[in-house]
Amino acid sequence: MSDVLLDVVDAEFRYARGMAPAASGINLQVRPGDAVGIVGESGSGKTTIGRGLVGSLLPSAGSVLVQGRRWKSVSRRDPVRRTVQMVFQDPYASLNPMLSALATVAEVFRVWDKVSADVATSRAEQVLAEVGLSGEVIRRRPALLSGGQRQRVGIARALACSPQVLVADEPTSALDVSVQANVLNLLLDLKASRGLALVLISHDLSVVDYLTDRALVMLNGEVVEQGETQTLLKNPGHEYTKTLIGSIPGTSLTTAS
Amino acid sequence: MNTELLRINGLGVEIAGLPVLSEVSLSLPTNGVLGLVGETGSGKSLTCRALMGLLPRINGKVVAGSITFDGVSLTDLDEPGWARVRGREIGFVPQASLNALDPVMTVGAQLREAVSHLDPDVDAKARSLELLDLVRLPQVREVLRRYPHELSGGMRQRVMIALALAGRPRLLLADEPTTALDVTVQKAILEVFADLRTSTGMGLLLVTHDLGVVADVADTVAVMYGGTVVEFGRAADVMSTPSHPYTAALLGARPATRGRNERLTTIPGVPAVPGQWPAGCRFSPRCAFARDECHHVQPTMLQAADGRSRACHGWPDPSEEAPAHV
Amino acid sequence: MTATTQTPSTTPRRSPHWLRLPHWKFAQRRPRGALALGLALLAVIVLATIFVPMLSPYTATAIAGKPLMAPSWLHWFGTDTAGRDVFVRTWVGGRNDLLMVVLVVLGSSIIGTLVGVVASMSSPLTDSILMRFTDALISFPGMIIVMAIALVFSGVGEIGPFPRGALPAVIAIIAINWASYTRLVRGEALSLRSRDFITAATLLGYSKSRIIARHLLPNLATTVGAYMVVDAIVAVVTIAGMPFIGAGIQPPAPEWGSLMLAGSTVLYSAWWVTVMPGLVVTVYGIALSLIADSLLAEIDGGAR
Repeated sequence: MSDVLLDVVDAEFRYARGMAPAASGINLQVRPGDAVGIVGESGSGKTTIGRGLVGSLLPSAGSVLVQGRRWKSVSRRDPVRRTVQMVFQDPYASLNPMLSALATVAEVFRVWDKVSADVATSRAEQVLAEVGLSGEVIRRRPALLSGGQRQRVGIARALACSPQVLVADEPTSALDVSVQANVLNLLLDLKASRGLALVLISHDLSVVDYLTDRALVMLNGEVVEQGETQTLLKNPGHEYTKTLIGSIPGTSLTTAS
Repeated sequence: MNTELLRINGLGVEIAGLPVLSEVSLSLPTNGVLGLVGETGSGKSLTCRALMGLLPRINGKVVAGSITFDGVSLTDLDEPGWARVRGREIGFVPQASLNALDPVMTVGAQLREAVSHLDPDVDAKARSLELLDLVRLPQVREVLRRYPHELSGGMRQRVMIALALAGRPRLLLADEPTTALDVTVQKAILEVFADLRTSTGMGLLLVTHDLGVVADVADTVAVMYGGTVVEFGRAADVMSTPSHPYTAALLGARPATRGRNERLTTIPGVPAVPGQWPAGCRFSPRCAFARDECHHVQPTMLQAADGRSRACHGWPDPSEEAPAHV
Repeated sequence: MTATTQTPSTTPRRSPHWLRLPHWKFAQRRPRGALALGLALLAVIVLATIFVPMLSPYTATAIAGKPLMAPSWLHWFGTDTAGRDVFVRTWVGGRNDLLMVVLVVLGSSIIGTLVGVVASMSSPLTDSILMRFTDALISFPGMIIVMAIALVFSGVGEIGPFPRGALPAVIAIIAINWASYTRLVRGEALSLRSRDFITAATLLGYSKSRIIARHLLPNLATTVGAYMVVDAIVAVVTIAGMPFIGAGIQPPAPEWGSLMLAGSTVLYSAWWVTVMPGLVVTVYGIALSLIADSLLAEIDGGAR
């Protein structure tokens, strides 16, 4: 049990008391090195689960444990907080427009490692280099970065506090295909080099298939199917999963190449 | 009857003196479906604007080439001329059209308004019902009474398409019509397009960034990069054996084409930005096969024996080429 | 079309609608030209308030000629009922007005911004208490409160460069004026808070004060700055209006409002006593609204 980083047990999430649950009956364990996909369409509750995993939304029933502890008991400066970090869908909105890439990442080291500005900057340079950003680019503000570069900065900021799990909510949906490939390659590399566990929230089955080993299929706030990604895609059990797979455009394309 | 509905030949466009499109060439047969593919900033939406005569509104103008619709040149049309073409000859489903409906008018009122404007001789109410049937909306009478916010995204997009069909256009231009929609809804909308093609006999120009969508619905495809068309041909051919390095790279970048945990093909560098085109081939700074001449001479569209054309100095094989459009 | 367009879900940052005065087409089309013109006009006014009193042969309070002399080479803006030079009184008065405006705008914006940011970051209860108080201030008839406060402090004499009555007026105006900044800032801060970079900061365990200082305030600066310029117009109108209700700077110290008030009794026979300072106030208003409009155009344009 000790190696379970995130443990979701019969969790239910509501945005307000009295409102219908946005997701319920969720069970999920994330161990080091895991790659889990959460698939669904808009309104399926997949983003809600993401918020629950990082502790920004507390379950209204059941529990979400991070390193065996409830999020509610994890204070702002608790080292347990470093376990999970998030990568957002909209790379522009996820960065402070007034801070350069370097300042954004360095701030994490200033806060968590209590180091001087110089040390924080040089550590930030290292992390940014790890995500493929170096040189003059890292001194730019987000408005002067491309979409792909912004998403790398967002990933670097998450990495700066040395998390063990990365929760990525549609990390490539706002990006062009060729840029998406760069970010997916990066996530793949990080999984290998850092032994990061990855929770990938996406509507795109091809991305989930590419990156994850296990997956949950969500519909209307409930998990309709859960299992090994490949099995799930090859032999879908639930009607909805079949519909989803049948809706992926360009299946002919995949076999042709 | 001309079997070629639309031909764009060597189109060049400037906005406020800045070149944003050059050497855009493509064609669409009557009742054909053309996929116009490209990434952000490739010029696909601007090509749409040029086709709808909407360039003057963004201070742009055609500086080279021609647009021919059913044998008639649209290039020198004045504003009243465009007003006769828009909606009646060419229907338009604009980008981000999910919020383009008037929030304080019912769907029925908006449809009747469009019909009485574009097709004044028919009974607007009956025609509205017919239009909603065409886009396969269920419970049409119910939908007519609804306000846009009461409809789902997919339903709103169907209404937008119905509006574009009100003037019985012979060409429907759809700019990223399924981008903001869920995949299951996207599939249904694409099926609507396929139906419309048979039921109305019109041509469809589908602008998208998604090669998968093109593979599913288009019979010809034009790939745009850096404000120009780099490859044009039958969709099946282009998708299975791309003849331009950019098309090949785009196809290789799709996660579906790779096994799990296998690195995807990426394109180095950043996309060309309008006004800062590189010298020579627009793609040359990012091209793995670029040679010396690629950095100096902009390639023109050349047609190969199989009817496909591309603008490339010769990857993978420079033989068997003859100038296009002679 | 730059890479910025790769993020379709980014909502463009626009200035709040109520900050939009009727726009000058000039400022919308050529923000930089409008900004330059506005700054130039403002500079002329500021320089005049500094140098006219220094260089003029007359002083603001001494009698310079016969009463109610029409504008001439000797007295550019004429003389008033007591025979004092209106030109020098206008610029000495302008200095008093501008000093008060600077204090009012700085004081209101600092207090208002802090309260607004704190409200946006507080619990719903604290937030609603703060905002109900703010609403109450805004909905009260401002001039009555200003008058009351100014009268309470009317015993305060001359302090530094401020003539008698100036500081009580400044305090009175700040006391109600900060609330409009609070409304503006809270709304903007709430919309910023919903952006993912604030969520990211929270997930990283950043403290509230860090989030406010590093992530909220810098992003509010342009909006608050533009509003400060708009507010500087409103403030001058308020300050100049105070003599009409017996508050504000006390005679014989000049001030734009009291100059115009003094001239109103002789408006038909000696228009210059009222109209000349009025023209200066108008130019001041035009200068600031050109600056404000061009700043707003920049904020809106920056979204694209």
